[in-house]
Amino acid sequence: MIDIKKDFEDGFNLLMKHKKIMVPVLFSIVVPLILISLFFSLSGVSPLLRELASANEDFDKEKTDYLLSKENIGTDNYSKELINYLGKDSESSTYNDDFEEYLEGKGYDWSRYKELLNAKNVVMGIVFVLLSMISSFYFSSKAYLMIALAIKKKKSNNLLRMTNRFMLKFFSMRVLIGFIVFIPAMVLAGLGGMLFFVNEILGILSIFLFIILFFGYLIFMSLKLFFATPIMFVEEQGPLRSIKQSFQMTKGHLKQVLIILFMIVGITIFINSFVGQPLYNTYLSLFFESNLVKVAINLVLVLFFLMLESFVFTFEYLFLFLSYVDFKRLKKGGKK
Amino acid sequence: MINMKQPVYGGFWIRFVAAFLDSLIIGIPAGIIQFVLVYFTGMRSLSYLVSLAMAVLVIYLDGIKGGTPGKLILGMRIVNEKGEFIGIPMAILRYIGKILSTLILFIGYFMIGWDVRKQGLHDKIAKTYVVKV
Repeated sequence: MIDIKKDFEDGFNLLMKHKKIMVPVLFSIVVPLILISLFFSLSGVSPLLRELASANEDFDKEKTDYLLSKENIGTDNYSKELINYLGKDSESSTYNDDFEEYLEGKGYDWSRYKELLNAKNVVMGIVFVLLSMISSFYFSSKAYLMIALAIKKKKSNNLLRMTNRFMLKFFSMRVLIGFIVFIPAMVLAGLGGMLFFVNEILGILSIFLFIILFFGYLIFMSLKLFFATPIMFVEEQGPLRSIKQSFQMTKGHLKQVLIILFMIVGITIFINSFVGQPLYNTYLSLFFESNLVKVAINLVLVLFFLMLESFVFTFEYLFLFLSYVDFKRLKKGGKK
Repeated sequence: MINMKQPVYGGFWIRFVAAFLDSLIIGIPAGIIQFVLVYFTGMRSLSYLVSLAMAVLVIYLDGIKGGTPGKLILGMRIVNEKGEFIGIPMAILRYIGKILSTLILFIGYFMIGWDVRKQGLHDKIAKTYVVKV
């Protein structure tokens, strides 16, 4: 049985020993953020979003003034308003619909956004997305490589060249995984569409069935391909071989893989709730804020959350790689 | 250090009461601080800081002090198999385990009710026990 506790502790110890691994992870987060803000500024979206943020602030203040007014407490609508306000991030809350109505009432002009949808901005958007992807692949590859070297207790004098080599492999593997996962989805969607034209009810039923089938397939493939990345970097394998080896390795051990996947999901939720979401929302506030004091506070918070996110992401990668090593050791032990 | 030779494990209901006490002692003040900060500064980003501080506090108390106020008041401690307090890394693992216990429709918490050593899923993941002192 995989020792989650040991892998978790080892992950911490290894991270404390090799703090440098956090640097490429930090860059993989920072570069896309910088590119996003550059795109907003250059495309002309920024002033419009700032205006929208300001309108949202006014709307929010109106709501809180209503909720804090003694006269309104106990009125018919009060509890509904309070629930909607407190749960404004949830889908069931009508907060966003109310905000849209508020904007309509103020005569907010949405057509200005359409004007920004021109050829120049589209091309710029594509270039920025590509740059983000390249930087993300590059820095992730570097981080994975550093983790693999740390686990194997090896040192490399040529990290840059190794990263370049692995980046292409890693990219190819991701493309391959994308094909493996999404081609069946596209086939199923096509079948569903065809059936829909033959008979509407049959079409709707088949689409439901295909969605369930696809989710099953997605979970199965996530388990089978779970170790492809660690295999690529730890065993220094090519994309196809990594995928193949991950398939072979997980055969008959899906329960063990499911436990590790479950832990990774837990860590990801932890990161998103306490670090990821706060980081992106604080970053956006920083971008749309006009008050200098608030900008300074938000900047400190962004830097803090950035450091924290790079720490926890590095830890998550370390945990995945160590679980792979543990899993491999167990499998070898089982064969004897 | 707790003697683990004949431990008395904390069951589901007493831990449920402890969690309720925690929501009163930690949850409500944190909620009020969050609301006041956001209302008077107009900065939603500060509310995230409060949420994070709350998680850090829970992890610190679980790892170093042996439990959150609810458990301490009711005379329970979170320990490892040796009877020692679990420390920060294991407290983080336990916290992540709690997310998973919630994710599977709270079954991870209900496990405390029928498990021989009264371990929830999060306790099993972090190899921890909640014992009465």
